Amino acid sequence: MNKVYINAASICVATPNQQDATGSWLKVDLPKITNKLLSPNATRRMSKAVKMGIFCSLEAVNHLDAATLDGILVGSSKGCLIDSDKFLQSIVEQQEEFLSPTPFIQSTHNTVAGQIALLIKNRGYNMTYSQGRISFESAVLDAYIQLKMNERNTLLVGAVDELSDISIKISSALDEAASQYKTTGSSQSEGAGFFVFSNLQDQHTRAELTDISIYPATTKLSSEDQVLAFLKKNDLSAEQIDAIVYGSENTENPFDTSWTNFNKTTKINYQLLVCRFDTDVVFALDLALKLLHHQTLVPKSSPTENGSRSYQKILICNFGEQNSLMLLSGC
Amino acid sequence: MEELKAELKTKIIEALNLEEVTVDEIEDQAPLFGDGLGLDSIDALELTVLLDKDYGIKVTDPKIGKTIFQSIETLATYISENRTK
Repeated sequence: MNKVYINAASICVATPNQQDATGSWLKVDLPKITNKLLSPNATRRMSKAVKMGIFCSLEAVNHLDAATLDGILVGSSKGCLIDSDKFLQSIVEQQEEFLSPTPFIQSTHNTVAGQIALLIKNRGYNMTYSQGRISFESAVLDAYIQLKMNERNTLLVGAVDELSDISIKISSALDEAASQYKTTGSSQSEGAGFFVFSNLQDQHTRAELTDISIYPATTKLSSEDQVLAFLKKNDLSAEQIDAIVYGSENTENPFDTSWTNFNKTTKINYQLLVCRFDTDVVFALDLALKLLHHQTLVPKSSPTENGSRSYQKILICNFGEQNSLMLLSGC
Repeated sequence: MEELKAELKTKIIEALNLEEVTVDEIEDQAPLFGDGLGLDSIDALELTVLLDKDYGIKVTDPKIGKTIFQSIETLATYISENRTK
């Protein structure tokens, strides 16, 4: 079976400290950059989700011959919220009459994948996954299987989630309710990330995606057992993992509990470095790619990083109702 | 009529998100689709909704739509002759 490589990456996210001088790759002035890439006529109907998706996609496929791209896969937890808000608002305000077609057309989750395909003239496989916090991993899993099985060779895979005024109001209300019951609140940011996955290694190859697994909410395995089983499946022990990049739907750190197997492993909670959104695991993947490439993290963003170790195997863990694990290997 | 044309230009800019276009830049006789403003089929749908919502005009025949959406001039003339609002 083929190996699966990640050959390009581009993300745009909001960070807790946008002025972080050492992390220039974290800063994105989305409207200005997007307007440089696209004409005003092309962007006038695009919501922020579409603009973020287009921006990251164009950056990611920059070095590619468009004809070599076999498809586009997008994960989005909540889809195009801004246009959904507009459409629903007009239904209420205008008693279901005089509905504008643009927000209706663009309110669907697959708007982003469709717009990217139209822009780069890609007529290949086009799929959108909406699976909550593991929407991106669902898209990656689809791509991974297809590339492994040689059904396709090169795929653009990404995720995007945006905020809207109404979603902020709803999230705030949920947060308030959540705080009363001491459960977790909701995400309060937005972002996107796109990656070129291929079974062909080239000079741009950043890493190999060695394996990916998504564990259903009904699994009886504990999170630690899931991780250990995943590593065993790949003939690896906990000691052979150089770093774990993890995030959690809950505010609790899963590694605070008795995960004795990973005491010596560098652990990075990526959600301390990015403003959270449902598919923020794209940031974790980008962070892991940078760690493999640069072999270090900026000091401020590596609270648990060990001194001078080589990073070759990195595990990305996204904990929540459903857990996802991605194993990256340096190339 | 001049007042209606100016009103139409403002409404079209707002409804179609023509952020880079000003009222003064839209000529009365210039084509709205193709070479002029460069509008497309989704814009035609938006204009149809706008006519119904703001002027009480239902455009059901695509042939009529093609004629009245030619320019601001033709659109204003049709509205002034057929408006119910």
